[in-house]
Amino acid sequence: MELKVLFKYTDDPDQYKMDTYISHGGYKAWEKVLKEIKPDEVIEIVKQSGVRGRGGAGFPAGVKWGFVPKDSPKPKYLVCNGDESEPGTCKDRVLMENDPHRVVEGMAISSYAIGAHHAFIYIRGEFVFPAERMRGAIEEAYEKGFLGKDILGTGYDLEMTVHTGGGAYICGEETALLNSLEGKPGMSRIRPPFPAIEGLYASPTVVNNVETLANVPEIINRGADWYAGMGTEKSKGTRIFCLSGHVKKPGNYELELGTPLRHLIYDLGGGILDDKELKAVIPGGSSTPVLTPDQIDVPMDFESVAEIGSMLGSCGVIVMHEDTCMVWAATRLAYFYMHESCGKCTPCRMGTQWMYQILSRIESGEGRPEDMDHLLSACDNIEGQTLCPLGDAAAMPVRSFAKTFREEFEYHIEHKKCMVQNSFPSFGQ
Amino acid sequence: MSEIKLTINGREIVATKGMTILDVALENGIDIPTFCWHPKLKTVGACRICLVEIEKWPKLQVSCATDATDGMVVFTNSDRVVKARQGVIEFILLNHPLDCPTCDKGGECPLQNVVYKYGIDRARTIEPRQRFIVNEDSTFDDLPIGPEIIRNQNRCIHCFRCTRMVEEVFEEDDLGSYNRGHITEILPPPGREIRNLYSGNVVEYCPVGALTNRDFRYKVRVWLTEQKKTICNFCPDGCNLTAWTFRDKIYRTTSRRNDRVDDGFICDIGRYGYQFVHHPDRLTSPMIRRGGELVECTWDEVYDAIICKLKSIKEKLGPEGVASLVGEDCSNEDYYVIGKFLRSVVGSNSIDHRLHRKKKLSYGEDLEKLGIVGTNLTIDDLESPDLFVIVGSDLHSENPISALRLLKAKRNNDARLVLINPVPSRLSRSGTEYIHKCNTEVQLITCLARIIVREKLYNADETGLDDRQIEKFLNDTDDFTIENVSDASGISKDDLTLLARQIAEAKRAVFITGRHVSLHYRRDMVLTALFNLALITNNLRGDPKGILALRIGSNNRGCYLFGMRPDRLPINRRVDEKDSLSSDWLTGVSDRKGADTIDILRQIEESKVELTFAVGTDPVTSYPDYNYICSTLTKLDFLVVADLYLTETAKIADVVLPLSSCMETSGSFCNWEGRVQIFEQVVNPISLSRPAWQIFTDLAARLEVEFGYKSGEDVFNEFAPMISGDTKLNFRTVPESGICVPSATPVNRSAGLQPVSVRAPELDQKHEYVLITGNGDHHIGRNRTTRSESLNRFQSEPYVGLSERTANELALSDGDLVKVENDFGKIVCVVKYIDGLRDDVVWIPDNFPEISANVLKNREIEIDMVSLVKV
Repeated sequence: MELKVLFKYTDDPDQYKMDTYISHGGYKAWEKVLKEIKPDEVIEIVKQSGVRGRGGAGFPAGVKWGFVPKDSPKPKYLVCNGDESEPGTCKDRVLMENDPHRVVEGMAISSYAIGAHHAFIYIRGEFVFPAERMRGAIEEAYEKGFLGKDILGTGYDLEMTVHTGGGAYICGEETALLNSLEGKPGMSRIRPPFPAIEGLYASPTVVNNVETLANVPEIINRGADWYAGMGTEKSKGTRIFCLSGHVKKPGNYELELGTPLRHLIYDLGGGILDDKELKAVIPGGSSTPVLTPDQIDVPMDFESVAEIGSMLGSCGVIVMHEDTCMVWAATRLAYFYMHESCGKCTPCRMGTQWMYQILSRIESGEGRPEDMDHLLSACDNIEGQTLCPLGDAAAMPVRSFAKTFREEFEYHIEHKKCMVQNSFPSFGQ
Repeated sequence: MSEIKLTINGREIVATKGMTILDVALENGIDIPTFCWHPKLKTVGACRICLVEIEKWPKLQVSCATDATDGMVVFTNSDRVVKARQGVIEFILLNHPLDCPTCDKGGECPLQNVVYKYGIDRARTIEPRQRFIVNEDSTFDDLPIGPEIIRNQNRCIHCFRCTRMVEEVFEEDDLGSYNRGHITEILPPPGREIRNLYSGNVVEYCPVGALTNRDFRYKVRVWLTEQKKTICNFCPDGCNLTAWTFRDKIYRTTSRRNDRVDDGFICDIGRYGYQFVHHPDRLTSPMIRRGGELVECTWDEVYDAIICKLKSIKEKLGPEGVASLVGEDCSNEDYYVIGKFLRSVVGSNSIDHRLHRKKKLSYGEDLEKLGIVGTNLTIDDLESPDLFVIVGSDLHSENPISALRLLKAKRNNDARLVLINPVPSRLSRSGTEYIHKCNTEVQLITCLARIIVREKLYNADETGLDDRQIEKFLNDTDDFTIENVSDASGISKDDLTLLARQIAEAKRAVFITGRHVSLHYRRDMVLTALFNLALITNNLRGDPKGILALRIGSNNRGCYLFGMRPDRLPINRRVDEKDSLSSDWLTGVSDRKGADTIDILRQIEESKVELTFAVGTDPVTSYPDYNYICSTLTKLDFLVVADLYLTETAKIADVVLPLSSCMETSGSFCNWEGRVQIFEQVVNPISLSRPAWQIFTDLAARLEVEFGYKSGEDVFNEFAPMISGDTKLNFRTVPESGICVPSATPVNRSAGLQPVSVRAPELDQKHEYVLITGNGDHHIGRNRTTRSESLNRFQSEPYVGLSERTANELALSDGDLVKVENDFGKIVCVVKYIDGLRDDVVWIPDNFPEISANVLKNREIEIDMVSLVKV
């Protein structure tokens, strides 16, 4: 069943306006925090709620905030990651477009909690409209006195800035995002130091996903217990699932964590397009290992999906039916990661290129029997050995496609044609 | 620093907390390959070749970025590590062309070495290697990206050492990476070239053959070369170099990393400057003037001619009838032997190296009493201050590698750079520069001191300044009010206040002066004013001290150390203190001061000096009064010039001796710290040339005094105990760090605040522009760097620098011809706009043979004024 917390008002066409947002209880949490709750207590509430990072890694938000050193002489920064780039994911965009004040309020509360006086929201370059909505909301918030100097007479100052990127997948990775925000090429930095110690301008920085921060106002308004009451034992609250691919009703669905995948695809999504057979599902954005039809009863929470060898990731659910050539799909994904590798570390830069080279040969009928071993060994040499998670993100889907649907790859190599009837035209031709 | 114990490959190792696994391994002789990591660059952990396995850690870790911790168990060669390493190599070789046979890096290529050691013997890839096509007809794909640097992107393994170095270490912006992923390219910004002063380092730091330079590529295979240790002598920094030779010819010089001196970087002048050695202009034979013409002759003939004249002039005028002018680029051995010859064999103390000064200065004696001549600072000490105040110096062109230490302090220590200069300088990119009206340094510095005093920003207890002294200082300097000085200098009152506060707030400031102060008509007063400011801000405390007065001339400290002054003997002892030195040859030396440059020239006019040696110096183009020096030197009965080339001075000489350069003999130099560093002979003397020490040893022998030196080494061994106080020290036992000869005079804080005064110079009203000279891009001094083909690729033509506004007022555009003239002479040259130049200044780079700015100078005039006429 859908459970609308973040999406409660997103269908209201005026929700992006300050007055409408306030009429729906907006900025109450911000006022309450400023006047009644100490920063440490805010962190404690968020910790208690159990809300975990919605960007993909699922790290508990409150714990992350707690890493920011209290005694640093440097300024602290909050950065909201709006560089939503994971293929199959489109949730942050809706929040920024239709309920931007919720994001602003969440950022404000989080900034207060970590002691930041400047918050940035980094939005991917292609998101022109969401960036416009965010700018508008921030402007309104300044006018209303929710941002700026001496907010609501409490003496707390907070500046908020929208920064749009140039359109790179890697800039969704927090250290690359920080580089880009500083005006440098979007390339990941080695950790340690972690951003909480040396992030933006070498100062303590918290980077959180849009959806994570959008949860914060409601957690303050309704309490940590209310939030922790939703979801499973370790995966609290709701998440927005972005359903796409071969389903009848694709779209964003906000569900309690732990809802079975089958319910999302068949009940909410209306089943498979043209009533064909389900062949494969990517559960958490394109970088997560693919699931087969026998696995779709899995409850969608961090732990259960991990248990069956995949990841909940960014909740970008991509459904593929029986006519999909898995070699083609893997090749397309490999192309994406090759194109998006920043080029800083060797295994990712070269590994993504080699994987794509091998895959496109197999796909176009020029594969050799040894290619499958080479492909899997390339995955071995990438995974766990790159500077940032992009390498893993590139290798995981390739490995899972090659293992799960190995016979399709071998058919391509042996027969120099596709196993699937009515398949899509060859990629790249 | 706490001690930790860890195990690497089963070996128990004790290390210090804070070291990375790689640091520990390298320190203990355990080999871990690296590409992107370099000790002089920030760690990025990008290439992943240095992966190691750590017990209980699930993933392999990059050793360059993982701190070693107590009890850690590390494997650098386990099966898992070797497999991962081979995986990385396989990835690198996916696109790296196997063109080793035609690659210039072959034989010294870290990638080649790593593949040789860890690589697998078969390729699993069948994909064609990716090319960045420059030339369809060739597979070389070489793209020139600067005057010297050639890029072959195909070979690049994306370690980003080059771009990181340019950005981090040099703070330049002329190299970057474009695109991303496997198509990432290393390129200068669109429409630009990589041409910063340190650009050659990118070739040296490149671990493959992706970046090469025109100088060396395809000239010789590296394994055929011999390497010799040498020292750069273009500026007083004293960077350590390796010279690579093949069949008695130098093919390149590279950095021989010495962390105490050069920190592993050299500038392009040091890298490409060596080309002057093999330039066809080098003198090949002694020459003697016969029938008005200089004709080639034998060494015996010139020696006979010199000895004959020497004897007759000595008979006629006494030993003082013989004088010597020496250049500042010779070796210590040359100075020692010239001094020994002139003082003990001829009997004259008339010797001087200070040819660039107009005015008879106080010999630095007043400054010596204050203790601000010489320095106890080392280059290393430049890493710790939090403020540098640079006065009258384009440090970047005068001391390029010391300048990098300032940037290092900025990087590691948040140090700030403030520059107070009459003309804009390159370091302004890394700090704040205040351009003042020429000749207002004394007022400016004193005004800053007054602001600090008036705002009570000084610490009376620590500085030991009492109210009475402060009161007197304020009264004595009441001309230098902020209003007056702001008007005079052209720097706003707000800026002056800001600057004063910034200096007062610094925990430790170092004041550095350079060329403009060194050549300043009122140098002593500028430095005295600086002494006051440093005293008030308590920057003279302790050791090292806070003032660093740098001079031009690569071995100027050697000149001081070996007494190239009329009143000084080796180790800067006064002539009347000769008994404090225990050397036989000093017994007969006169304890009367000889003549300095100004007196030597006057005595030539008065026919009291008739024979002059000019060794490694070209006064005709460098003395700040062309007309005077020419008329004076031609009056000489006998002028002996020893130099590398037929210089303008050599052309008017009676005999010309071909000098060997420092690459053709062994010896030592002294850098600005007072560090004496030795160099080996790199090649045999060019043609018939001889080093100066040999020439004067030969001449002494002909006067029946046997010095007995067979090599520069012999000379060094004679003076080594004198300068080091160690009787056993010789050329073979000099430590890598050299011998540090401390400054003779400690800083005298108790001298208290010194009186300062300035008299407004009488300005020549007929001419409206002030002439200031400096170094052109990639050049230093005259005669040598312009004979390096590589350096001439950066800048080979002289120009006259004007502000755009001044040029426009005279209807001149970039590239137009302009005549610069005054009562003394004229220069015709092309105009170049200089950003940030004051509108009343004409700036001329004084390196190029076509023009020499001294034709516009007069030794009597404090500020050189000129007019501009469009041609």
